[in-house]
Amino acid sequence: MRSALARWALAPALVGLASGIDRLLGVYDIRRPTPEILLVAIVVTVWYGGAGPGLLAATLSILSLAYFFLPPSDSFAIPRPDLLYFLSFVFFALLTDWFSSVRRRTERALALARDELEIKVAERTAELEGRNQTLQLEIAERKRVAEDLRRSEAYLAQAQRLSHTGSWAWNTSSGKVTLSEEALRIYGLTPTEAHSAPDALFREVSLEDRTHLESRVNSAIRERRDFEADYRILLPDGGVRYLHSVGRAVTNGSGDVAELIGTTMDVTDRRLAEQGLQEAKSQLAHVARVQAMGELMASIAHEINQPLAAVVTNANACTRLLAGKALDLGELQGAVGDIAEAGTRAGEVIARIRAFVRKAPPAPIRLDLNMVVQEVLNLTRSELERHKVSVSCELESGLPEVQGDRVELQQVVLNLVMNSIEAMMPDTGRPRLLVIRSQTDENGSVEITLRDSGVGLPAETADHIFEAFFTTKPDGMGLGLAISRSIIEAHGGRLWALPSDGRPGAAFRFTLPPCGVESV
Amino acid sequence: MSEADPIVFVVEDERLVRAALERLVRAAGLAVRAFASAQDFLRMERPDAPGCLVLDVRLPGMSGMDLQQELIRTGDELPIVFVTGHGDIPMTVRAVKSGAVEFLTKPFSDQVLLRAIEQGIEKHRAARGRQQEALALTRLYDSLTPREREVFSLVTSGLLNKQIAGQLGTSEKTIKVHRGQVMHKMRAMSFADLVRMAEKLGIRSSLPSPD
Repeated sequence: MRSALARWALAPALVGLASGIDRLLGVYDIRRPTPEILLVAIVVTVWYGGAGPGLLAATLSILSLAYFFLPPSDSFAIPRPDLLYFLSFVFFALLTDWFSSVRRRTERALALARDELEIKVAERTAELEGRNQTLQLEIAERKRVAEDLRRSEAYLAQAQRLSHTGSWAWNTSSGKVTLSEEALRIYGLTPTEAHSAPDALFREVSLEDRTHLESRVNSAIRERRDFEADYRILLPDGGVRYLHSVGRAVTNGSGDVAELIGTTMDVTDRRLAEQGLQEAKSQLAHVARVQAMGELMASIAHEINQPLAAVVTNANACTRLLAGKALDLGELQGAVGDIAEAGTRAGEVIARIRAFVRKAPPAPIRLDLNMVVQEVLNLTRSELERHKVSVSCELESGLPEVQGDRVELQQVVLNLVMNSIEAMMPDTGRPRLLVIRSQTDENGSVEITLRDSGVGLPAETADHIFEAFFTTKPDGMGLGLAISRSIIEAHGGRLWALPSDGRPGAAFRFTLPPCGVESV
Repeated sequence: MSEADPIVFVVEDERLVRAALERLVRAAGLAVRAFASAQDFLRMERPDAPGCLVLDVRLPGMSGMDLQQELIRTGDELPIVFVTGHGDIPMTVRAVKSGAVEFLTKPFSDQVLLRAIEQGIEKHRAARGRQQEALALTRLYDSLTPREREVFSLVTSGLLNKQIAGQLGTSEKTIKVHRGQVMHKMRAMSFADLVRMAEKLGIRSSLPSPD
C-alpha cells in the first residue's frame, strides 16, 4: 500500500509538473497556455492518491491557475475578464475531482467485491474437494472392510477345512438348520438338503449313538446349557465317520431357547489312530504273554508230561495185564480210569495256556480278582514248586467284583509272580516265600499286594522299573512291568512298587476300582 | 542160600504217575512199594531183600537228587532209576556219576524202564552178595586166634615160613601148624584163595621195620 505521504506528495508534484510543462511550452512559445493540463494532474492524483490528495491537487491547480496562467503572471490577482473563466475552471476542477473520486471509489468497491467473490469460490472449491476426499476414503475403507471380511471368511472356511470342524446353527422353533461349508461336507449333505431337513444333524447318526446324542441335545435345550457329544454317522458309501460336537443353547429375549449353535469336529482319523494304538498295545501285551509262557516252558512241559507219563505207563501196564494168564479186572479198571483222568488233566493244562496266549481284543467282564490270582497260581504251581517257592495267600473273601479283561489281569499277576520267583532265585538265606494278599482299600477299590523274600529292589533301579525296555535280567525284554502298568491303568487302576520300609524283598501293589464306579 | 524176592520202590509225588508205575511194575510180576515223598521212603523199615528205587527228580521237600546223596552218605547201595518230567544234561550227568542206573524222561517206554529196574535189581543183588561174602569172611576171620591172624597177615604178604618163624621167634614147624589152622578156619581152597580173602578183608602185613 502506497504510504500516505507519497499519496499526499503526489498532489503538489503533479500539479507542479503540469504547471512546469505548461510554462515550458509557453516559454518556447510552442503554443498558447492550456490550463486544462491541470485537470489531468487532478485526475491522476485522485486515481493514485485518493480523494484527499485529489482535493489538494484541485486547490493547488486553482492556485496555480490564478498565479501562473492568468495574467498578470506571477500574481494571484485575477482580472475581471478572466474571472468567469477562473470560476468555470474552479467548477470543473472540483467536478473533475469529485467525479474522479466517485469513479475511483466505485472501481475500488468493484474490485473488492470481485476479490471477495474469488475467495468465496476458492473456499467452496476447497470444501468440496475435502468432501470428495472424505468420500473417497470412506469408499476405500468400505472396500477394505469388505475385503477383510471376505478374507476372514475365507480363512474361517480354510481353518474349518483344515481342522475338520464345521459350524452350525439350528433354530429350534423353525427347525431351520444353517451349516458351514465344512459342516455340510462332514455330514455329507448338500445345502438344499440341509435347509429342507430339520433333522439334518441327526439323520445319519448311527442307531447306537442316536439316543445318546438326542438325550444330550434335549437336556441342553431343557436346562439351557452347553452340551458335548461323541457319536458316529453313517456315510452313503457305507463308511463311518466319528464326530465330536460341542453346542450351546442360545436364549431369546423371553428366556426361551431360540437356537442351538455349535461346532462339529470330524475326529475319524484321530479315533482310528487311537484304535490302531490300542490294537498295537494289545498285540504287544500278547507278545509279552507268549514270552511269559516261554519262560514257563519248562514247567509247562512238566505239567503236560506228568499226565502223559501216567497215560503211557498205564496203557503199558494194561497191555501186560491183558497178555497175562489171569485177568485182574480191578487193576485194569483202575488203569483205564486213570488214563481218562490224566488225559483230561493234560487237556486242561493246554486249555489254560491257550486261553492265556489267545490273541483277542480285550473283553471286559465282571471278575473276582481272587479267582484271577488263583488261576495264575494254577498256571505257575509247577514253576513255584520247581524253584521251591512257597506261597501264602491271604485273600479277603467277599471282595467286590471289578470290570476287566480276565487274560490281561492274569498277565499282570503272572508277571508279578514270575518277577518274585526270579528275585528269590539267588540264595539269600531266607526261606523263599511269596505272600499274596487281597483286600478292599479305604476308597472301596480292590487291592492286590505281592510281597516276596527275594533280593529286593535297589534304590537306583526302583525309579526305572516301570519304564519300557528297562530290565535287570540278562534275557529280559524290559516290557513286563511297563505292559502291566499300562494294562492296570487302562482298567482305571494303579500299579506301583511299595517302599521296602527296611523289610527284605520287594512288594508290588495294584488297585482296581470296583464295578459300577466309573473311573475318571 | 535162598534169597528174598526183590522189591521195587517208587517215590513219586504225582498220584496218577505213582499209581501207573505201581501197576506197571506189578504187571511185570515184581513186588512194589510206592511213596509220595522222599521222607516217607526214608521212614520205612526196609525189608532185607534186593531191590531198586524208581525216583522222581522233582519232589516236594527233599528232592530226588537229595535222596540219592542221602543214600550214598549212609552207604545204602540201593540202585536208583531216575524219572523226570524234564531232564537237563547237567542233572543227568550228576545223577549218573553218583551211580544212578538210568535217567529216564517222561513219558518213557515201559520196556526201557523195566529193563533198567531189572538191571538195578541185579546190581543190588550183586552188591548184596558182595556184602554177604564180606560179612561171612569177617565172621571166619573173627574165629582166628591173635597168633593165627598174625600168621595170616605175614603169610599172605609173601613171607616164607622160615622168615615168619624168625620174626615171631618160634619154630618153622609151629608156623606150619598155624598156617594149616588158618587155611582150615578160613575155608580156603588154596593159598591163592587165601591171598584174595586177605585183599577183600583189607589185611595188610604189619611188617616190623628192620631196625
